[in-house]
Amino acid sequence: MAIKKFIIRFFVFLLLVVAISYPISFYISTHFHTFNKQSWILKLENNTYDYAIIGSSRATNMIDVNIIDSICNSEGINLGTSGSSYVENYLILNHFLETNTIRKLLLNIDEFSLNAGESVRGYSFHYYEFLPLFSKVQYKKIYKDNMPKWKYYLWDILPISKYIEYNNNFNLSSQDYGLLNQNKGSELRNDKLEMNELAYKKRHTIINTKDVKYLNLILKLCSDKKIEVIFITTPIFSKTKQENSNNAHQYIDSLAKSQHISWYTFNDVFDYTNKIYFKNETHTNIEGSKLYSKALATQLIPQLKK
Amino acid sequence: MTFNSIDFALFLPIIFALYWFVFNKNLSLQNMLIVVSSYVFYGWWDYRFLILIFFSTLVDFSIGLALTNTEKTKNRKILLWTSLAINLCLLGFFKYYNFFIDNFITAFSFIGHPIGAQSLNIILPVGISFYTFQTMSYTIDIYKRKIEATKDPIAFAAFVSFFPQLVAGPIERASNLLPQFYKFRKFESSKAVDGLRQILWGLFKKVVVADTCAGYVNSIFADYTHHTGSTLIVGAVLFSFQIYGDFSGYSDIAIGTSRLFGFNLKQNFAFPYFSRDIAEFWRRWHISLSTWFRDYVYFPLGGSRVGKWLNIRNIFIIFIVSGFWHGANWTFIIWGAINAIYFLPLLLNNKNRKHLEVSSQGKFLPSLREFMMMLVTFGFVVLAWVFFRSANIYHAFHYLNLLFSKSLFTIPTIRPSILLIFIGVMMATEWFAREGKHGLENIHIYLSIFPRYLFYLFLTFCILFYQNFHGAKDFIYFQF
Repeated sequence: MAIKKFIIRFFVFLLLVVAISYPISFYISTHFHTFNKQSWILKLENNTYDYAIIGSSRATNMIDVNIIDSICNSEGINLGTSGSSYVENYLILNHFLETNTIRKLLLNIDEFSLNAGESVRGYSFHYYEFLPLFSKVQYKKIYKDNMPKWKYYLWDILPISKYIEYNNNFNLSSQDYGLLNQNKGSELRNDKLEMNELAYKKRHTIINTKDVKYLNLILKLCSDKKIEVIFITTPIFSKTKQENSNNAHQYIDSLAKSQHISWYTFNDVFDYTNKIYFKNETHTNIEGSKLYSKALATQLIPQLKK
Repeated sequence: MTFNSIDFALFLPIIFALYWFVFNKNLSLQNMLIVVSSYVFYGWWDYRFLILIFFSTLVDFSIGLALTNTEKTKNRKILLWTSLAINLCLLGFFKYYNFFIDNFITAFSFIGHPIGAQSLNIILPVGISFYTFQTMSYTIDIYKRKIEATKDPIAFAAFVSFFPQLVAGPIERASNLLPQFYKFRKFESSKAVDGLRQILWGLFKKVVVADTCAGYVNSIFADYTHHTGSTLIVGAVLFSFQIYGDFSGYSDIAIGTSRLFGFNLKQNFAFPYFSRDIAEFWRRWHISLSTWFRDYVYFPLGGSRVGKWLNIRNIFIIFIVSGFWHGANWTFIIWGAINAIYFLPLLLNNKNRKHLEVSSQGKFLPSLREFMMMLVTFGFVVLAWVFFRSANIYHAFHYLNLLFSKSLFTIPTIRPSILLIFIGVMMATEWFAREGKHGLENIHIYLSIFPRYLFYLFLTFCILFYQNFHGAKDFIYFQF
């Protein structure tokens, strides 16, 4: 029958496409790059640092490693990535520690990071930022835990599908990582955003079990690698501070005490009531970030000074 | 849903399977399936506007039947004008209401008598210009006794809403498409395979060429005052390829999809950028619209069988109306008028039907003379497209003013090298295919099976890697 023959021919062509996709997929995974901080971190190899900072934009945008290093005479790296949760932080740290070593981990922790599932960007794991890692056995569990199941199996069976779906993120040309290298991963920003206090009113009241799960995995990883963890909470504009954020603060306090972790919050060292240091409610501007980094460095001197 | 979306990639095989495996024994059920699937296809955007298609279908089906049963000329005229008035009112309200109101407000303010009218926040229903023109042509053809009115409401509804060409054409005539709904359709493998080839080619033109051009074009036109003349010419040329890739790509996918269901739609583009003069260009660009205006506006006005001045008037009318059909903006009207001006010297010298055959027919490459003619025609077309693309008349003139400045002879600041390769692939493929109906129709003649399949695979992977799966770009002509 003509139609059956037609369908068979069509499927043969599809099979051909699928067969050819495997070598193409391998080529892409080795030659193409994303243009973001995550790809910069994935390329870091064989380095030794006194400390690494990890967290979301509240870590990468608000902590200037150069300032801390100049005050503490240390060598650090900022592994924070915008919009990330502990899931992503765990993936990054895991991969980073495969070839790099650190003595201490400054982990940003606050009411936002304990409930990243409700983050402004609406998702807690940007799985497309780490596509080359998907094929590695040790990371598959993280992917499976954090993405739609159908998509996980599709990516697993047909590796090219992930590159096709996120083709806009990948480029052949190389990226200039000069600024990230120069700033040791810190990305201080001075965008002029309007303060929108209402946008944050209804959050920070829940402690998300998935975020706690990956926070514990980070702590376990550090414990296994004998890395000392230090909790830090970067500044939040005063009016944004929620009454219910006490839940999170109580949780952090008890966790820090039970695991013998030092916790440095901004409250005592930073003027969080002054609007001129903020670009929005949850991020300082360059001036605020530099000021806070100095204050944080002063807090950390006993911990970091060699 | 759009042709370049995951939704359509799932929708098409489902309808195909139902059409050929479930409803293949019953013609009425097949037609019914086409109507339902077409309404689903259209409703994917905004189901509220299905009522407009249904209403337009109902009006022209009823008036068609009434025309068949009416012999008195006066009554027939009333019926015809009722249909035209309803269709044009729908089009006028949704597409042109704000344009006229805004222009009245401006005009009255200018003469010192401000009026209190207000423009409305009207959403333009996708494809309204296409299906209203299709239904109008049906009624006009019955009135002129060129065709018989159909008594089959399902076949007529399928003719009006046929999903492959519903939102951006080709604008079909009842004489071509409607009889195909009456005939039992047998699956033809060769036709379906060629349909798939045409879909592949259309997707390549849309996704790889047009959408990639769009990125450059949008950034250049949005910030044209900060670019050199040479960069502005790059922007204008890329827009020419964008609109061609976008619209002819859509037409290819529409025609190819129809062929999968056993239908033959009219060719809408016949490789217009290989035209040797502007008259040939207009015989090859958006053929279904050009012939619509020719048959229903130009000929009734007297066409070329009137005096020279009336003929010139008629030419200006169809070009300006054609421009206005594209959108409620003076830029489209000026674009139409410019094309009429381009056309004029050919008309006055009786050379407007000089190039009826394909460029360099039977030859591998064009002669230098033909090549230069194509290049000059393309240059004129590119300049006119600046009006089509610009936000308003002032921007268009300003753009051209900056384009023809000293900086025209500098190196462009935007050099889309990979895109130029894709444009080269598109143009070279179409050059070799120019005697056929689409870019891949005769590919088996000049490529043996192995390189041919390599080429198909190349196109497939290009499409996959250039398609934006998180927000597919609409086709430009959806807005018209």
